[in-house]
Amino acid sequence: MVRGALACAVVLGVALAWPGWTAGLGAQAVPAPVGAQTSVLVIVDPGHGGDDPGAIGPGGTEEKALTLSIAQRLRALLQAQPGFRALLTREDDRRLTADQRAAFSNAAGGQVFISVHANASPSPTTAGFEIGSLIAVDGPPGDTESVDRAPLLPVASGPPRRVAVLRWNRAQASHQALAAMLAEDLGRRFAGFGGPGPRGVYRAPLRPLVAVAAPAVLVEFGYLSNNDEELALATEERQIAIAQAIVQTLEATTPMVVR
Amino acid sequence: MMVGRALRAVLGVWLLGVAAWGCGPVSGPPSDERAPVPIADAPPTATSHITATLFFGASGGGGLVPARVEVPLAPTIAEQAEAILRAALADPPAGMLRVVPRGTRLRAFYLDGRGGAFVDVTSEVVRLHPGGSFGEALTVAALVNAVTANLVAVRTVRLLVEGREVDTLAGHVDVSGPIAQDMSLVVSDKRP
Repeated sequence: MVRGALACAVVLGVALAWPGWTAGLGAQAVPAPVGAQTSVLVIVDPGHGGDDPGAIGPGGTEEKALTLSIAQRLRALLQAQPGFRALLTREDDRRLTADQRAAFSNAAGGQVFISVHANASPSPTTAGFEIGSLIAVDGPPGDTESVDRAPLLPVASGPPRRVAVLRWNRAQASHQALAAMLAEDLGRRFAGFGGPGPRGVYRAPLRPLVAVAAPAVLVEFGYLSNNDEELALATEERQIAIAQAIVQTLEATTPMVVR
Repeated sequence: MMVGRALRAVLGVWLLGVAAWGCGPVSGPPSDERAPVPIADAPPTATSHITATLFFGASGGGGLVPARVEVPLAPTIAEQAEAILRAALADPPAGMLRVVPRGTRLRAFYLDGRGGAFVDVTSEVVRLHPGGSFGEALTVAALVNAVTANLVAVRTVRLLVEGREVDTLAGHVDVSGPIAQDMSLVVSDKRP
């Protein structure tokens, strides 16, 4: 994994040195970041996919389908909102690794990363939303820099150039505080959906967020293992309400969260 | 008469002290973790047990609850950890819930000599995991806490699946590095 992380760091470093070479880095071809954009690019990450169904409810609802459905609704709402653009890490039922999801976001220049999930518990009575942000367990204390700006690297043509190399396993480190703030705001907005789960708004070593170079949160909008919540989450009404809550939070907090 | 009784009492206390020293605390820090460390001078008998604190799912679903479980006394720290983990992978006591997928077995346990341990389990822990970041966090904490709460010589645990490092068990919780004890998920069973 370390070798892969180093390779990703170097690849992204070269990509940053040579804009336009980012297509194909992630799960699908993404446009290279373009100059100054006035709109905020939100990367929406539907959890699981392919041969990884995620949690499965007692009624058979698969998390991977639910997350894709809500992610698509969220993208539609964001695209209709002035000041926002949105991309999905996956458009269909396919499996992606956490690093592929992060690479897609980083290559596209994502400014906020929302990983969309449903939860599960050994107890069928556990219920409620939970919003997680990363607490890194890697690296020495106080090491919060995500980018090493020093290296002088060779490029395909011309003289070596000084590039910003993303430290893959520390990519989220310098965004943790803003991500925690976004998670708190989402938690307040989600309070209308039956209250928080056992952890509510929490911080944990969440692998899908580790390599994302933007404030990143993992939103779990309910427990699929709970029969009542599975039924509610399967409805269009609840899915739209969840997407709206996320959009309203982003509208309110983006000026503070996006650098 | 009085002197004789006092001498017998002193001798009794001394013998109890020697016996307690001989059995020793299972969780006491070893002088050298690289080598198997005997925890008793005499081989344990078939009836020797320790009481270990294990962690299972709260019936209300809010987290983990501790359970005091008798496990066989073992002659080394590593073998004691294996006995504890086998108990942690077994069916939970009545009224508690399983948080590690049924069928998951312990493959191996290693000490790294620096306060770290490796717990190697079979692939059922991934293949049969019901998912959810909460359920996954309970699985990880139950395994890590079972070791660290009973063997103070072990401060962190690396989880391996079929002998290999993995990033996660169910897609959420990063288990690619050493994991410290986490009691934040331990709740009173009365809590929903």
